[in-house]
Amino acid sequence: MVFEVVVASGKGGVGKSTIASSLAVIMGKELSNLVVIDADVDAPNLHLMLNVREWVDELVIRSARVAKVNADKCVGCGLCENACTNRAIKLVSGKCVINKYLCEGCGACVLVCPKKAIELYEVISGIVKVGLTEFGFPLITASLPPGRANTGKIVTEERNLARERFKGFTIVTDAAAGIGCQVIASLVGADLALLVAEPTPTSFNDLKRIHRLTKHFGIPSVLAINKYDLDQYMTDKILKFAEEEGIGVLALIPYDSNIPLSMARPTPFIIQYPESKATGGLIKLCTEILKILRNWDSWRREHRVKPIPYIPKVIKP
Amino acid sequence: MEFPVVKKVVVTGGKGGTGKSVVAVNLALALAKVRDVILADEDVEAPNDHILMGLDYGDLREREEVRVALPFIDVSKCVKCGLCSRVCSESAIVITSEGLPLVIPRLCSGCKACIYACPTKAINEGKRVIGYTYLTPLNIGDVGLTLVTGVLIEGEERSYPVVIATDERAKKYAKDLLIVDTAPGSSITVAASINEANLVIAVTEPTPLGAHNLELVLEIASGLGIEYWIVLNRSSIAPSKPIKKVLDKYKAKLALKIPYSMNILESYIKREPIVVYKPETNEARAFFSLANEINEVL
Repeated sequence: MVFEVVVASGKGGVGKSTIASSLAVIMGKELSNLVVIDADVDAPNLHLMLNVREWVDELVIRSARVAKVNADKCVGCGLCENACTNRAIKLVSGKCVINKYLCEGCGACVLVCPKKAIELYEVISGIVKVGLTEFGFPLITASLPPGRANTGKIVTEERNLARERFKGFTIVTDAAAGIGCQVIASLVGADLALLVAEPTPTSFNDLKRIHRLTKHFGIPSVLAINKYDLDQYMTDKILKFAEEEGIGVLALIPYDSNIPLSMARPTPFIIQYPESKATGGLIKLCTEILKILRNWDSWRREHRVKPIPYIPKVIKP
Repeated sequence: MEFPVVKKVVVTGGKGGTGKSVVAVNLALALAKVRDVILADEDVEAPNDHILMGLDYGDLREREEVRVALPFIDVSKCVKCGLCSRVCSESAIVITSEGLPLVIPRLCSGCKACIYACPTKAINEGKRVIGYTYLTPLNIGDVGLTLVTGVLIEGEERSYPVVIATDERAKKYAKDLLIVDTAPGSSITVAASINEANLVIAVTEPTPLGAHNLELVLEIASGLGIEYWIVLNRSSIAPSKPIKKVLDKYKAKLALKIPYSMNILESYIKREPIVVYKPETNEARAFFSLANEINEVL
């Protein structure tokens, strides 16, 4: 059985990568077959945290296209500017100019141009890479040219590669912040969502949003509250929410001033600080996840989530 | 490059949780003392500026839907040429065994390429709601500003159109100064927020992770030809060597260093921006002096 756990939080900077890297190290010790995916493809970090020693494979993804104008043919009619829903085209002194950072290559401009002055070119949308970490297990990550679209597609490519190359391996995925295409592409078809929150109003708000998303996909969620002792009032509010929603709380991790310090030298926290305040909480969290994995069939039966399908609001022509 | 009369300052940074929203909110409030400010929260997947100013979702005003086009096939006019499916860059139109096109709404980006391509005008434009924008006039302490907030509906994938709708709505109301808070990362949505800015404020932290993600964002800003300043948050937690390297490479100005601060953390949790509620603290003074500097440059 492939077991895939996704670490997600909605809000950025609450401790996803700290938790994911420690989780990976502990699971890597317990399991012989583990692969880690960094699905935060436009701000990837795990290759630094897990210290990739050697890149063993890379896959160039060329699905993206961008539009280019032949200025000699352009008559400056402005039809393309109107058609571009990305607002990537501007008329500059009578010629259309395409902003390469904003074009997603949909081709609408090509179709409306009366002079056939615009063509689509294939570009590299990203490179998916397989690296061997210092801890023995492989990491799948990606690098994207800045300003690129298709981040969800790259995540899907990463997950496909993980399943093909590392058949039957347990997968730990570190998702991006937010709730958009990257995060959806990380969650679809995963087994378990490990949600990370901190006791701040903003994190609580984003936790509710990411949890609604996991319910759309029928994925059971568990929760870790990071820096829980920073504000007991907010922690209690989050705990109450978790209880109402049936989210199992696996660990409360205390605020530890060594965590920000540890970031100066990116190494999984539990390795750098094996005896620090937060280490116990992190280890407990990982042990709980391993317990769920080992009793997966019965755990899943007890925590079955009925998907609440997302119904888009559509206005007919 | 032409500059509009309204100035646009964009707060971004790359890595999540570096303090973008804290900087955006405090700068907006500090500048609102001397200018007419619109603050646009374009982190539409996790919009939080209103929360930092003590508001909940229910307090946001003047909701408008963000609609994107959704093709509807008129089967009576369709000649089964399959062109719509071929031009669709998102593979959102499949051809059934009867040769008729079938739209998969979840994949559709709303670009309308299929509508333009159809030789028999058999595709009509419907709409689909993917998010909302709000416009909320605010008074915090003795400072007034207008907050424009973009929200992506949970379950929708495409934040880009919501970012654009938020940006345009904010621009429509802005008379003097527009301050934008972006999403984390360095994707096309962040590029959309940065586009046409007069100044980019990139907030980061002194870690290799912060430096790595900062570099990706500066790549966009420099590619778009926009001036950028750096704010180094939690500067006391680690040596700033990795950030210094990026600063040198991109010849970026280090505009402000904010040491790790319990005052800021407290104001964050209490949802009371520090420049309004504790204007005498060193942290608030630092925001005021950065605001002054920005004001002078503009």
